[in-house]
Amino acid sequence: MSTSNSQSAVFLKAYEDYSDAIFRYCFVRLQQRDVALDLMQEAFMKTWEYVGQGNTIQNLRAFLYRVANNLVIDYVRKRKESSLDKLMEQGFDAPFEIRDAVYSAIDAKYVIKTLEQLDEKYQIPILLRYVDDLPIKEIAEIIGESENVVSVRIHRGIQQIKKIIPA
Amino acid sequence: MERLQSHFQQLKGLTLTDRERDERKKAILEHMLAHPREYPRLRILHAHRMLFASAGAIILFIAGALFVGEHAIPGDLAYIVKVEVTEHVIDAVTMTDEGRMDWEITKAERRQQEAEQLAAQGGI
Repeated sequence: MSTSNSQSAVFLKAYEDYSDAIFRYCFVRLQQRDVALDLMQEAFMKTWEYVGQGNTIQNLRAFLYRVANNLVIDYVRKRKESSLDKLMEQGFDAPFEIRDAVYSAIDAKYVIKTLEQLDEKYQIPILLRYVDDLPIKEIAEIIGESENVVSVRIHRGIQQIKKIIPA
Repeated sequence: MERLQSHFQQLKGLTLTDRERDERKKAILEHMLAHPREYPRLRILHAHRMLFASAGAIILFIAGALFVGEHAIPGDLAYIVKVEVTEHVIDAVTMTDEGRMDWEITKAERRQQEAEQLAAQGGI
């Protein structure tokens, strides 16, 4: 198998493995399904272009998260986003595609709303740690901070959550 | 904490539908075809950059040693390179009788120059 074919195969395998996680990462940040889908797709496309220019990626998953993160930041900067509450006030209900539809949908929205109340710098580490089960080291690589900083942010984020959610 | 963790796990249910996954995959595939890898050779070089860097460093070191050796006199550390490496290599590659004669004359001249330099420095 040529180098080019093996790279394509690796990349498509990465799509199968990480597309849900990258989509979820974008959706939790933006709470707009179509936008999250678009940004997920764009993250993979930009990553392919980066490799196609002759660059090497050591950790593909972390790279995809970083690209997605930058796309989300750019999107938020460009447009003023409405919160899920505002959308619901307007009669819009975000279509959650979840296996245990009603109960899980309620809990997922509840969790997202809880995350929203945290300091922004705590949201991403907690999301990556407790939803995507990423190790601290990889989270540090994704957000560009040291492992110590990530551990502290996760700890402080959990402390904030405990104050928000009754025991 | 367990309740919190179980709540976070609910977010795992946020996934693409099969249709969404396939549609987006198709778009990405089309993008991959439209943007083939531009510099496969460069990528190979980049991937083996450590190997090429090491080879380059070794070549530079050898070239430097040979250059320094050419000006060395007995007693210098580099004199070993001059006599044991450079001159032995030239001995080996000099094929013709005339070439070997010229080279022997050159070596004799080098020994004479070295002796003069040593004498000037007060040593022999």
